[in-house]
Amino acid sequence: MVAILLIAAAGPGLASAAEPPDAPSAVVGEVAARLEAGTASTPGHRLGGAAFTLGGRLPSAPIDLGGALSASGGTLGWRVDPRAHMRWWVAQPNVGPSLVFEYGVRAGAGLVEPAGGIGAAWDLALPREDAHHRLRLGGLLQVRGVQPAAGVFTVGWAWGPEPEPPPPPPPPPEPEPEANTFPDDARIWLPHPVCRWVDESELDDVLASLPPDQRAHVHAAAMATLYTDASGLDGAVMEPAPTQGALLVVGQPGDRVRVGEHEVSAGVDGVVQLAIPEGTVEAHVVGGGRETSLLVAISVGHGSWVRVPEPAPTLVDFELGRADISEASRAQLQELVELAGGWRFELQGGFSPEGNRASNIALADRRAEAVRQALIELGLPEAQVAIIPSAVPEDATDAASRRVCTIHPRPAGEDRP
Amino acid sequence: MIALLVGLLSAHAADRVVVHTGDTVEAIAAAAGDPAAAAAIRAENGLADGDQPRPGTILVLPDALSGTARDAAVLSVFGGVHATIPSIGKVAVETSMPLPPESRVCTDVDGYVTIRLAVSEGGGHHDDITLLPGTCLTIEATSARRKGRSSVVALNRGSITVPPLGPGEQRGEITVATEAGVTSAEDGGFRVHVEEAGQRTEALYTGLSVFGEGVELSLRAGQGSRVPLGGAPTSPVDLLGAGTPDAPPNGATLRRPDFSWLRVETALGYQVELARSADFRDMLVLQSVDRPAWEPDRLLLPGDVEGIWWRVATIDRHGFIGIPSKPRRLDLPPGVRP
Repeated sequence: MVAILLIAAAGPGLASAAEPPDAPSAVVGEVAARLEAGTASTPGHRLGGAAFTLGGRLPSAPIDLGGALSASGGTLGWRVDPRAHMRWWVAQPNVGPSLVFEYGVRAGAGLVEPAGGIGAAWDLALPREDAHHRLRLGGLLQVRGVQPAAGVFTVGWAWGPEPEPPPPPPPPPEPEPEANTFPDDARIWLPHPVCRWVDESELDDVLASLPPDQRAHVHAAAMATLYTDASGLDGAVMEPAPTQGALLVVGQPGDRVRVGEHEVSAGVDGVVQLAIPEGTVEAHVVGGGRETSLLVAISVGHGSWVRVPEPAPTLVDFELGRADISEASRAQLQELVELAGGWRFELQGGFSPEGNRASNIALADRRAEAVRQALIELGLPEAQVAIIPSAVPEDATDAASRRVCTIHPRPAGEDRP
Repeated sequence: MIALLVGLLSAHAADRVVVHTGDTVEAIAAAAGDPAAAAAIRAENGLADGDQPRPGTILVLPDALSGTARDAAVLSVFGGVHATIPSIGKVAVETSMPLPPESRVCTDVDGYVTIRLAVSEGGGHHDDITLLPGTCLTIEATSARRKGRSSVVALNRGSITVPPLGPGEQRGEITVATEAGVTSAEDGGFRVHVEEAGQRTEALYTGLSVFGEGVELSLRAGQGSRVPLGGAPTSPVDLLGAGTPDAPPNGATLRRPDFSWLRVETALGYQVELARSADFRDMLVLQSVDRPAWEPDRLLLPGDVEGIWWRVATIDRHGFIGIPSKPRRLDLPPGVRP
């Protein structure tokens, strides 16, 4: 066994005359190991052989397989050692076989024979457009072992045009846009001034009979809506036919609307809009102390507006001359808090006309404050409740009805008086 | 356009003429193109030799004098509308449905329909009539003449409105007959209502004639008159002007249907109208209210429209509805409009 270590440090590459002027030039790294078998006329002197190469070229071919035929000559001891071989890189189809010439100096003879030298390679162009000649120069270091087999390891760099990588695969063809076709059962309605259903087959003729600037609005019945112009259906945009209707619950800011699984708070305009499949739905509305359910019929492609009734003021009764809240009134206030939504409430105390007016006004204020405290205790945020000046009775016809605190619901965001 | 309308030609061609004050059968025959046809006209209408019809009489012309008869057709429908068509029977009305003579069309309490009556021979000019909710009418005749068009309908109950002529449109005579009287106009722009004891006519944009018991009354634009059963037309009444629309502003998006307008001092009430188009041939809603605002509890509008138009008219203490305000446009919110 003869082990040969060949380290080739190639010099700057020289482009051949056949190389295209715009061929890329790059630094090429090359690492290879090969096993050779050959014949020798004298021990340590190999005249020819064949090799199997495992190596790589950076960056284009990190791993490659190749084959080589070689011939060398020289003398034992310190001697010159010219070598020549041909090499094929089978994994780089656009690189041709290389003719390699190496000229080195070997030290001694035996199992290990280190040597150094320089070499040159001539990459032959293949008869194809993306191949070209390449000349490489470099240094080498080799260790030769026992004949007739030899192990060779090479590593080095070369400068020269790098074969272009294979072109990327062409992108997949873009799908053809779908033809703007009508469903078989479509009908087309030409509105004012034509006012007539037409078949697709006669549509172009009909449109051609209209003035050039006439714009026709075309429906495909129950399937889609089309817009086109007098040029025909080319470029017409088919819009999906609606499958739902729109429900618009017209309440007040602060209302909360529940329809099925949807629960939405009304916006600043007090309107909640939902897309609903066709049929009858129940809209449940809470806010301002009232709770309302509204049955609404939804029609596909239509808007159905339904208005929520305004909440009525709530009256909290008091005993004559008293400002404490009864259990019944507390239950009444509890329900009001639960149905408050985002509304505000203005409290206006009242009194019956008997007695001193100044003390009655103070009593009315105490009644309003008692209601305010109760509402807050029951969970109504303090910001949603306010006291306004008491109501002075105009006559004594219904004294009992004046011994109340009136709770005025106000939509969220509405200016305070 | 001509090709489109060929299919609407009717095999029957019995034209009709309204007799105005001073008209004679001979003059009508001459105007129809055959002065010698007076006897045929009398024979067709059961008149004795030498008899002259009273003003307001609707004469049937012999076929030889008639124009080109055309079937009326449904222009737009919203809500419940049905028709009883000769040789077919009772059917639900659909857009573009032909309505031959003697077809009876009725709207439900929520129904609106606009019918294209006569169409000119060359196309492009037509006479439309809109039936408001709770209305029934029978199409007597629709035809095109060399010099205009002629349509006659019998209004059995309810109310109709006829839009004014559009820019450049040729005149066409529309005659509406009720049990009490006859209204005839050549420029559109009027309303006729069947009332419990007669009819009411409002001339909105141009003059017209009202007939009752052989008496012809000419109304100017902005006037109204009643014709009681068995009586002559009442003296003209000046219609009130419209209240100026206030909200929603023109071009707004219709989220809250809160309509309001300026009060008219002597108004007894107002009538709000919503339609698909600015000419209100595609009526969607008509509502009477007693204050200068309308906040409907429920409203159903189609989403396949480019916009909604609304206007308001004033109802005076005699029940006459005045000239509508200038239309305002509203956009439908995204989600309502597909």
